[in-house]
Amino acid sequence: MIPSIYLQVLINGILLGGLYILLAIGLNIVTGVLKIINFAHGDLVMLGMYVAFWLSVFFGLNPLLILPSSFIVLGVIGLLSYVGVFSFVLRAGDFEHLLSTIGLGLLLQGLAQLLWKSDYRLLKFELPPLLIWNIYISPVMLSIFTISLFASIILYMFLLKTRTGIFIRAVAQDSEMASLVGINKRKIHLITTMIGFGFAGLAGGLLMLMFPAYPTAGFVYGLLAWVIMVIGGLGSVLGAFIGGLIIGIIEVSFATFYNIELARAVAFILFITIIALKPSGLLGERARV
Amino acid sequence: MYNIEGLLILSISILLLLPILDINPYFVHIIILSTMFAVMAAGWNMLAIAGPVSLGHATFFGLGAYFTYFSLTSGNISSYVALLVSVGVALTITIPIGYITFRFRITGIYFALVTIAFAEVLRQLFISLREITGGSLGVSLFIKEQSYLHFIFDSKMPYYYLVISIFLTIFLINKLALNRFLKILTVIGNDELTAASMGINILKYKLLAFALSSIVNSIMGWFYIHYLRYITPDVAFGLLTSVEIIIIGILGMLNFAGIFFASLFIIPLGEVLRAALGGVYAGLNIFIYGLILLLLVIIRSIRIGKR
Repeated sequence: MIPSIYLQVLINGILLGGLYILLAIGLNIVTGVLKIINFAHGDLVMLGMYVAFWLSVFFGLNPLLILPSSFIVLGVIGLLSYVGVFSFVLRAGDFEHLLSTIGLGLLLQGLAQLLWKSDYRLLKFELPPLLIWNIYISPVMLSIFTISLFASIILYMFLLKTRTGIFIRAVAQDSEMASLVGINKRKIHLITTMIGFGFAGLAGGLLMLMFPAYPTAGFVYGLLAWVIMVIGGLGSVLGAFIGGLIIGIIEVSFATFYNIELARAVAFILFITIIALKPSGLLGERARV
Repeated sequence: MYNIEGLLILSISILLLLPILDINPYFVHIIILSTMFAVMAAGWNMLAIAGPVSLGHATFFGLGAYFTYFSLTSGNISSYVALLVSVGVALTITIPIGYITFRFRITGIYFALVTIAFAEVLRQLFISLREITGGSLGVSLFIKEQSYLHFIFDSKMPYYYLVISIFLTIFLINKLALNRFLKILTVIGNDELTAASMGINILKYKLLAFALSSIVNSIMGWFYIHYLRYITPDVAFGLLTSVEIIIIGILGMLNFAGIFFASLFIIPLGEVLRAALGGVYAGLNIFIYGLILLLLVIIRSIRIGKR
């Protein structure tokens, strides 16, 4: 019989991992389709957190009901950044992609600090815990897990079944060929940016239910999204699932038995090891080096 | 090319002569910081011209500062030994990481990710090991009496001359001794395959460049802890320090003299925004850094697109 503490850690890890899957999926779709290295992802998540926070403070609504607005606001920011930044740098190299998205991230981070100061903002959102077989399950985490899985599956179905989704996948596979058969590449890029940024906002809105928001909060989340994506393999949706769960379990177990900083350090060490051993990730099809 | 280097020599000599006049200590402080960042950006640049873009170059700066602190507080050790210690630490970190990444051809985005993740590992570790590192509050160096042994002075002027002469030394070494080395690095950065087919040992040269650039940065960490006597994990391993280094490197058009002037522009700008407007408009400096970086990159991309 497994002692219940380990089972507890495992379940919490899986629940957190569900959220991390959503965190990585927004990054995954932008990177996969635009072939751009989005280092601003974390700051987008941070902005999503603030949107959820302010809307629920001003309107006193349940934070779960506000989630779509995080998606929409970040989608609009996606539109602005595509028009203002990505459309210029897209044809340049990796170096420019990297630096432009870092610049975008700093811009958003500075803006957040200017507008809302560096105080920690936390939402009070609590539900009584469920107790099943001596294991506590937080309903907040459970609802976050459910919503993020649901959103990921919707995105997956969208990419698989709809016309636009098929276009997006075509551009991801071979953008030159896609243009040749009459797909408007720029339009698809724009839609993808908006969806990807929107998912970052959604992840931020969900994170806001459990963690505090502050202007530099995004850095760690952005890096975690990168870790999950690289562990799973660039562009692999199943990989993001596995990567999210691995990181979630690692983080919860180290945070339970040691402390949270060490947990993050271990996650990043795992990431460096995987990059060194298998740059294409666990489920990646080919090395993109 | 020669003009801007002549301008560099001229401005450095002006800076060296300037203290004859009685100048404002705050001005001295800003020049010290700018020169310090110029040295670090020059170090970063040494690796960047060979191709790999490091996003975590503050790591070596931070390690240099922390290990200098550890050695100075662990006993009656002089600063010169502490310098050797911090350079040694930088080397023991770069050689394995550089070997693994360059050997397995982890370039571009993956190299950037490895360096940024590594900096973050160290930041989280230094925050979590509170007993040794003082956690996120950082550490301060308490040495009261002035001494050449510990490089502690009441006045700012010794630090001023020290950092400018370090910059000058690195510049002269670059110009006189490393000319061929830097050209080889540029060839590798332009076209790795061509360089390899000409018989250049790419792994060796990249490793050397990485080692040199980390040494330069750790020396600046050593300098920083003596000068400001205070360091926190966020300054030591944070993204912002690395980004400042990168902005200076790019604005300086990846050449030595340009970097010096870029640093003389960026660091005072950041300081003024932080000091003058910091109370009301905290975050404005980050916002403007982001804006500058975006504009630089967009201009660069448009130029690439036209070519």
